[in-house]
Amino acid sequence: MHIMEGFLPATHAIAWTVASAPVVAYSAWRVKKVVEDNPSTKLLLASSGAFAFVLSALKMPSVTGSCSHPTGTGLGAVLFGPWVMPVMGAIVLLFQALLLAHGGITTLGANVFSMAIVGPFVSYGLYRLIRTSGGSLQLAVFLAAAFGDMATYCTTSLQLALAFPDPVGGVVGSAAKFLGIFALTQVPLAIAEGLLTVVVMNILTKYSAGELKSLNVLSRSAQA
Amino acid sequence: MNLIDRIAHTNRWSRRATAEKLLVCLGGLAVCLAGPALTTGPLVLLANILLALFAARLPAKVFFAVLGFPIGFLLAGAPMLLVSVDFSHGVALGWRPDQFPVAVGLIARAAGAASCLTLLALTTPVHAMIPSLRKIGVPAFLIEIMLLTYRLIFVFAETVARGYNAQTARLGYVGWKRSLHSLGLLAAAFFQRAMSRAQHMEVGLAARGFEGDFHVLAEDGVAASGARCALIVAGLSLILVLGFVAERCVHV
Repeated sequence: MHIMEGFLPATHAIAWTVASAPVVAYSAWRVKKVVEDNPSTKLLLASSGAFAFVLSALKMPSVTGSCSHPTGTGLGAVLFGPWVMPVMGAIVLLFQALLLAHGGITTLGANVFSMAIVGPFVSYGLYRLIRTSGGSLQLAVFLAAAFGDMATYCTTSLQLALAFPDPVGGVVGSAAKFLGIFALTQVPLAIAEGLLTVVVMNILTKYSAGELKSLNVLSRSAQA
Repeated sequence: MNLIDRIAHTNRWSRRATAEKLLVCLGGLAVCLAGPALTTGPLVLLANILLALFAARLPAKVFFAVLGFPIGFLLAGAPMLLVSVDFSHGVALGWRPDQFPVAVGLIARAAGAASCLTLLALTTPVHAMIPSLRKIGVPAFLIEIMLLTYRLIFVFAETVARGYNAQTARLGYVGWKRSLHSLGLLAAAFFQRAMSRAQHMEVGLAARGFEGDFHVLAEDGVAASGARCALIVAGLSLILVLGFVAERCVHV
C-alpha cells in the first residue's frame, strides 16, 4: 500500500513526516542501545532488512487473480518485536523508493506511518493478545499478519481521504470511497498474507528454533 | 531492481557529484510540491525527460518503463476523485465534474514528482546516496546497517531467484494453494539462509577483531562544483517562476 511519489500535497507530506519522525527516532534509539551492547546485531539487522526487501519483491498469489506482494509487516513484528520495525521499515521503504522507484521520498513519512508503525503495532498487539489468552500460535500469526495488512490499508485510505476530502461527503465520504476501492484487492491480499505467514511460521518453528532464539536479543516475542 | 541499479552505475551521470544529482532531483520534488500543481508538474516532468535522455543519456526504453509504472497507476487512480460519496441521506454516489481540476492537478504534480524519483534512481547508485544521509543527522550506526542491507539485498535476491526458478521447474507454482505453500517454503528457507549468513559474517568479523565499527574507504567522490549548483538552483527557480506565470495565464 505505497502512496506514490508526489501524490500527497506538500502540507500532508510534511505533516506525516513530522508524525512518523519521533517514532522512527525512538525506534532508532532502542536499536542503538541493542547494537551498543552487542555490535554483531548490526549484521542481524542488516540481514533482516535485506530479507524484508527481497520478500516484498516476491509475487504473492491472490484470490482476485492478480498477483501482489507480501508486506512482511506481520512476520517482522512477530519475529523482531514492534520497536525494531519503524526504523527498519523506514530503511526498507527508502530502498524501495531508490531501487525500485516504488513509493516515494515526499510520501516516505506517510508510508512509514501506515506500514512501519500502524501495521506492526496492530500485528504485534493482536499476536500478544491471542497468545496470552491461550490461542494457538497459528491463529495468532494468521490474525496478526492479516489484520496488520488491514490496518495498513485502512490507514492509507484515511491518509488519502484527508488529502482529498469528498466535495459532498467530506473526509468520511472520501474514506469510504478509498476503503471500498482498495477492499477489492486488499482484503483477499490480507488473507493470503495471513495464510502465507502461518506457513512460514510453521516451518520456522519446526526447523529453525535456533535462529528464532537468536532473535531474542531483539525481542522476547519470538519464543513460540 | 538489477536493471535500475545497473543503469545507475553505468550512465553518463554515474560519476557526477552525488550532491549535484540530489539537488536536481530533491529540488525538483520541492518545486513540484511548492508550485501550482497544474503547471509546475508538467514543467518538471519535461525538464527531467530532457535531462534523462540528453544529459544523462539514459536508455529511453528503461526510463519510460520505470516512469510509466507509477504514472499508469496514477491515471487509473486519479479519476476516482470525480466520484463523490455522501452519507448524509443514506449512501449517495455522485459524479462531480467540478472536481476535474483537482484530479488533473494531482496527475500533473505526481507525474512531475515521479519523474524526479525516476531520474534519481536511474542516475545515482544507492551506496553513493547513503553517506549523504549522515549530513542530515542520521546516526553512523544506521548508515552502516543501511550499507550492509544494500549489499545483502543483491546477494539474497540471487538466492531467492534461484529458489523460485527451482520451484517453478518442479511445478511449485501450479494452482493457488500450491503456490502459497511453495512461497511459504521459499520464505522460510530464505529466512534461515539470511540468519545463517548474518552468523557467518559475525564469526568472520569476530575473527578479524571486530570492535563494533566498520572502517571503510570512502570512494573518491567528485566534489560538487559551485557553479553547477548555482546553475541547478537557477534552473529550478526558473521552473517555479514559469509555473506561477503559466498558472496566471491559464486562469485569465
